[in-house]
Amino acid sequence: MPQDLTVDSVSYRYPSGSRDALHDVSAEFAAGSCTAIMGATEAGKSTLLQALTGVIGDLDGGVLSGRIRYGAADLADYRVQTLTQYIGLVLQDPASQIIGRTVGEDVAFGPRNHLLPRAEITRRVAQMLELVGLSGFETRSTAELSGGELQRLAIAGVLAMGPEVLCLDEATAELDPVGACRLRQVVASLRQRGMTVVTAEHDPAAVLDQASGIVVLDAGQVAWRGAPADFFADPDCVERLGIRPLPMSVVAREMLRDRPELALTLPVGRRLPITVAEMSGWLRDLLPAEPRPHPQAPSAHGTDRPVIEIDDLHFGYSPRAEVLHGIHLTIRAGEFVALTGPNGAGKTTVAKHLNGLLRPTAGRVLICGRDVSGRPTWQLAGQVGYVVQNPDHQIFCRSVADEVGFALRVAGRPQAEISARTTAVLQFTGLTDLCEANPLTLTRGQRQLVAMASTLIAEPEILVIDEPTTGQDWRGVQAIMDLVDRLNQQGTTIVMISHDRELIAHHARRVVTIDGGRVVADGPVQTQVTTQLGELWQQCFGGRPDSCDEITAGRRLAQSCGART
Amino acid sequence: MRLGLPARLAVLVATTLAVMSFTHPLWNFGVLCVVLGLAVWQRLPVAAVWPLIRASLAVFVLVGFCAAFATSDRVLHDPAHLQVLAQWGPLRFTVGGVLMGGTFVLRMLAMIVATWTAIYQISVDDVLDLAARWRLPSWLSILIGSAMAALPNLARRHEQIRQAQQARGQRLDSGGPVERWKANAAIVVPLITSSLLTAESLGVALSVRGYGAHRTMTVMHDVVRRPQEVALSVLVLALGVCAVAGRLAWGWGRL
Repeated sequence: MPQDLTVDSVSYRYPSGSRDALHDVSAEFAAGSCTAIMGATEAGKSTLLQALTGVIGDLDGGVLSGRIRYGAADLADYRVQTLTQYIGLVLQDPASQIIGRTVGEDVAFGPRNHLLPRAEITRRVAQMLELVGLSGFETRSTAELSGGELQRLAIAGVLAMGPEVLCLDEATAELDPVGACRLRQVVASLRQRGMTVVTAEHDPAAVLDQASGIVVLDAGQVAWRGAPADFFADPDCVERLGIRPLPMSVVAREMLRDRPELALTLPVGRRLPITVAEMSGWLRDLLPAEPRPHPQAPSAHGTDRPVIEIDDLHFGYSPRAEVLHGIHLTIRAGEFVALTGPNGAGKTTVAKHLNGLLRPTAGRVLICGRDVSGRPTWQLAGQVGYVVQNPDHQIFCRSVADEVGFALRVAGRPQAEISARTTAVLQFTGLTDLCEANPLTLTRGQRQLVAMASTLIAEPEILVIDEPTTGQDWRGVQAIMDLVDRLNQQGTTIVMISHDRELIAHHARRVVTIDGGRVVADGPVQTQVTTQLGELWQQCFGGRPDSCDEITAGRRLAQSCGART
Repeated sequence: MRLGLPARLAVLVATTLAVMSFTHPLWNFGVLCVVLGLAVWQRLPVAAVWPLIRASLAVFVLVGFCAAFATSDRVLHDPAHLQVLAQWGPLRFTVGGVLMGGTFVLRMLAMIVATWTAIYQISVDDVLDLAARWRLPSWLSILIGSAMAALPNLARRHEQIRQAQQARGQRLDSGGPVERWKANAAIVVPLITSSLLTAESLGVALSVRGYGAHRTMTVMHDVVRRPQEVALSVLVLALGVCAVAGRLAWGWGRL
């Protein structure tokens, strides 16, 4: 029978830490509830989850004070291995927690450690795989699974030990919308069975949809605690805590900033609308039937000169497994194109052909009119900058300035030129103050900026950026996308790989959808991406907005509904 | 017939004993051939070991070259091996030195192939199973288990880092051995950093899956020790012991 999980004045400092990773944190997770833990990167979300499962204190060393109780039991009195039968933890990176060679072996690993009988383990393996939608995968190699399947396998492996509380550490961070949705269905079904769920989550829409409570951490301290709807109705507070606000709350905030008197018309409770349904309900009473508001259309970018021409591109990692089946794509100078599609669709594989990291098995790729075949990657790096998903795959120098100047040093450029261009790029990216810092001491967002700066120093005409939001908090995302927008305004062609519909809608102008190794859709962002603002427009006006910018939309709406107030 | 982990480990142990006993390159070449023969007999995809060997080519050249110059006359018993092929100042390039260089390279090759053969498609589960049966201390099996579970991840991460550095202009496949060696610093540092983080995650992952709750685990399948496999294990271990005894008693495989 699940019990309440109670955190009472918990502080924790890592063995090498200079400040508390958690400071005087108190929270209660009622039996059967679903609570989201939110906050900027390094706010203490993962630390709190590890504390809830007994990992901190037992394995990590460090200084832990306060008490965490599960029912009447103090977690400090038990080993992590014992607690796993009651409280399970799924880590963020599924690949680092898969232990078995086959799916069945992996799920069985936990129950085997608890010496359950062989027949019971076999039963649990089948049951848990069915629960997470992996029935029939028992003998499949774990190396063959997609990111989404790995994440569901990781959950099955933890559930097989029969915990009453499930802690998920950003389990959907690297999943496409379909994979994330399936995972959330699994969590919903667990809740129906009475399981307590505590999840670190960065997607506000998912939190609003699933969680009954929310704990927001800021620099290791509880900054907000309560119902998700109340939290998201204050977009200023949400942004201040490094969390992405809900689009409808931003629209409503902008309306009220322009027309404060509209606050009097808010529904009972005077809370800002946060969902499309709430917003359209509010607007229905305010908006005149005509004229429709038309947010300003985005300024057109792009020229007629093609910089990327992909012609019948075929590629396979092995001769028998082709992953790209005849991609045709032309991108013109100055365009901002989003490549989207499900996990494993071939987006990154296409992008790696642009700078020669992969070579076509058939077809051709032209960059600025020249075929890339036969041109080495180091030569193409000057034309096509590629910012990888994880900045830590690039960083190795002792200072930010050295890291940024690396590409010019390996190209053998004169020291004077390296210094001048490094200074200019540091200034452009806002990293001047950090030029002497060791990159590994920076936050994830800052490290991503360093990785981008080290790519930009080669002054590429085309910038490919792979999943810029992965592992980033809202502030980090904003800093990176601001930089990308400025580059695009200066004429750099941008190719951004992303699953994030709202991000794509705000920044890209064209969306290319790849699925199963083929281009399945290609068109302007307004016709290719459905956003919350788009849904609102559809409900209120029966059409699409010209812009996906909530601030502009809010101001236009405020002007339009002025006459009726 | 694909051998189980105990038999493969027996081959690895016997190979280690043999290559450490023999100092003549021909004898070590014989050991290498036997190990390769066993891998082919087990129908393992031997071509898959080539990337491991290719990655070590620079080390082979360096070790072989240094041994050719630095082998002391005192370890060479045959006067014919003292014949000087070339000399630069105090450095003498002798027949014995060349043979000794060959021995070192063949030893490394044999060990790479034997190690690869021992761990090819062996799961962490197999290792933990064996560790529990042999009653190894839990810290040791956690160490082995963690290392093995990290290997596929590490290989994938190595490729990601390699591509990330190439994407910003690092030349990894051009230039001489020294340039390539230097260029690899850009891969090694991020690889070490990320490996440390991965090792930490893996340790947590093993614990939260209950590993170490008891000294043993439920055995999911009864390991059937085939008589042929047991006989083969005994035979290769006996050959390993014979190699040591033959070297010490009768000077087998001595340069």
